[in-house]
Amino acid sequence: MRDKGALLVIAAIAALLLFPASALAFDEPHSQPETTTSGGTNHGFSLGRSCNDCHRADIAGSPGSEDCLTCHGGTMYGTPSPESGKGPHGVYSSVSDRCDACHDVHAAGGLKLLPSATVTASCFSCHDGTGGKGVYGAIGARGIAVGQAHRIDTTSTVPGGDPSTGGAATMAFKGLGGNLGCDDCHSPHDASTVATFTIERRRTALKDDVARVGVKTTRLLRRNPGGSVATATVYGSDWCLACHRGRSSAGPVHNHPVDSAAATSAAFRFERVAVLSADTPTSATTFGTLGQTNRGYLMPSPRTSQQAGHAPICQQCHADARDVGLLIDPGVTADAGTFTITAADGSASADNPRFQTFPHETVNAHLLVETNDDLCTNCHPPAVLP
Amino acid sequence: MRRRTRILLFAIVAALWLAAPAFAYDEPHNMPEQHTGSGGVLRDCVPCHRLDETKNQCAMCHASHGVIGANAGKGPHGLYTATTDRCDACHDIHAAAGAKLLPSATVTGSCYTCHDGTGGKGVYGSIAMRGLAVGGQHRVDTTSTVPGGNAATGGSATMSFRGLNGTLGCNDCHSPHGASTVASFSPERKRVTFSYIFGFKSDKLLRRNPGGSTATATVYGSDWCLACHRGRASMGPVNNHPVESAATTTSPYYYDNVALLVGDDLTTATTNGTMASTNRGYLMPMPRTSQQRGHGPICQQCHEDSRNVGTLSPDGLSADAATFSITATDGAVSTDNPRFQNFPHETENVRMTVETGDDLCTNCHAPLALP
Repeated sequence: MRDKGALLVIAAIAALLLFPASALAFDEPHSQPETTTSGGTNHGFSLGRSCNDCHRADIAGSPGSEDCLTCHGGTMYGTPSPESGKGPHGVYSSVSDRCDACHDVHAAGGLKLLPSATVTASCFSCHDGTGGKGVYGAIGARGIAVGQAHRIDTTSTVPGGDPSTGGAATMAFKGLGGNLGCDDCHSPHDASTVATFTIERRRTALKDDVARVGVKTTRLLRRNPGGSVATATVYGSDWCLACHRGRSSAGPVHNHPVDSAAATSAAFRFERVAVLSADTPTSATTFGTLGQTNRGYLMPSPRTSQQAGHAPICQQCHADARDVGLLIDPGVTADAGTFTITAADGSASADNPRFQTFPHETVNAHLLVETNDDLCTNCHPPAVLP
Repeated sequence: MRRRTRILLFAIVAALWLAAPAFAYDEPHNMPEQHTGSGGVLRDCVPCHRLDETKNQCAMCHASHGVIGANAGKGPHGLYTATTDRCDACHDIHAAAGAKLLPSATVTGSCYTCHDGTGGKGVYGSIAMRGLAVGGQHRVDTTSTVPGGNAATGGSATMSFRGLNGTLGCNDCHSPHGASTVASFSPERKRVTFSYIFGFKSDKLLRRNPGGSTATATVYGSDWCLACHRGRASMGPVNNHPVESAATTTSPYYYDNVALLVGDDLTTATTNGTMASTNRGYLMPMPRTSQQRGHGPICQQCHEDSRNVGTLSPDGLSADAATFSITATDGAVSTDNPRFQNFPHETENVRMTVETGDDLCTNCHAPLALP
């Protein structure tokens, strides 16, 4: 009797642990299996799994009529469409069923009819990093210390937020207790977001995710992060400077030069910087995105025609930790480190960059792409220093 | 109440003890040279050096403790690689205090972050700290006038320097990055009491083109001085004392290669060697030795740290060099010869001459041998 009771309890706990998912998914939630044992790409359907194992049924509750389309576009079994990458965040229409991925009209878990008591917790309903698969947690799950993070629900202090001194400033954020929250940077409804740009993060091991390489998204980044007055229509320095106002190089604070609207009329941005023309040693650059390459972090000396007149953007020093390569003495030529991401969430230690979780958290201090003189010498070869 | 007082005193002492903001060699902030506490035990780097997130920053200036080589002597000035952490010894990427991301409003102020002479331990300040008057100096952030800078007349000239408001600054003569500097030469200055870091050759970060001059001096010698003091050369239109330079000979002597007396005792013989750490390079017996013939003196054989160089015999046939002795740093021992080693920043004698009056002239021109 006692044994049977114990078995029932264990089975119940196991079931809870196995199927606690309240809903929704991409890769991150609840350590959902990405592949079959044979490396397939169908969420384990060949093993007999169904969407219902992880996803809730639709309103009708009809067996087998899952709400896959809540997050996935109509081409979920083929090449995912850009809309499918948006999850439930946007693309709302009279024929879609995406609102209730996050909102319960009655008896919701929290304010704004959200599933949890806080916005952050609601975000974590999917993006919870369980199994080290989120933008928060992947680094720690691999036994590596987080060097720096944009901590959420923790602080309202913005380093370099004071435009007159470069010191810290306090902002009234949307997160818990007025602290920085997820929705300070991200619009969950993809409203008033920046122009789409090339993504870098590999979120799943699915072949389809590889096919998504090069897909551009807004990352749901608000044009006015943190409720800032300043508007950034593209992801670049101006987006960072909306909060870190004291980091501009066009103001009274002595900062490293940075390309921004305050500094030039046609500032570079994440999607358009001067990148090296090859991974092999070269002195040539071309215009392109910082995404999916390590060619945008080195500046040969003398500067190329594309680089001339432009300072680096924030993201050329602050990005996911990686080996960007190096300038070859005396700096005329640059040899970019090969960009390679073969697994999701830092599972392959040789990937470069290993993690793609910037600016949430990175391995290096200060969210720097490289550290110490290794960073400085990417653009300032010792041989040409005064 | 008494306990509170003790706690307050302890807090004040602790605050003072841990207040040292940063960097160090010997000079800054009167840091104890021995790096030891009252018990003579090697102290942790932490009380004097700043920390990064995980470790102390000793390696910013020191190559390593233990065997301290020439690289350690460079401080954060050069040797930048992908594995070093030296740039941010002087540069703050954000919210820096001055232009070029430097820690002070001016370049000079930034240099003084370390080389501040606190406690009379810098290249500027040690003479006055010992109650002595400074006789001559290269003043920084003060003037753009170069005595003897006019090549045509020997008069003064104005140069556009890198210092405050175009005046002479530290980085007119020194490259803080150790870039395009002269060949290493033997140092003379004793900066710390540690014996094992004395005598390494260094370029002293001296630029090959001091003051942004068009003339290039690859070694420290007359040509380095003449890059700015262009009107002091010989063989030109100005009547100057002969001076060995590229303008007078194809292989001029320089600081690390002049004709030296072979000993401190009375002698008529010379050999080639460095002027550093000896007083044997300031006397020229008559007749000139084979190493001296055909060579004028270099600037530094008349202009150097004040010292007693010794004397020629009355007939000038032999020379008796004074013993070179530096037993303490920064002129702390008055009998050291030379007492200070600050040239060409500041010296006791006027015009930064090694000796003064006829005492200088008779080092090479024995009265009995005058025409």
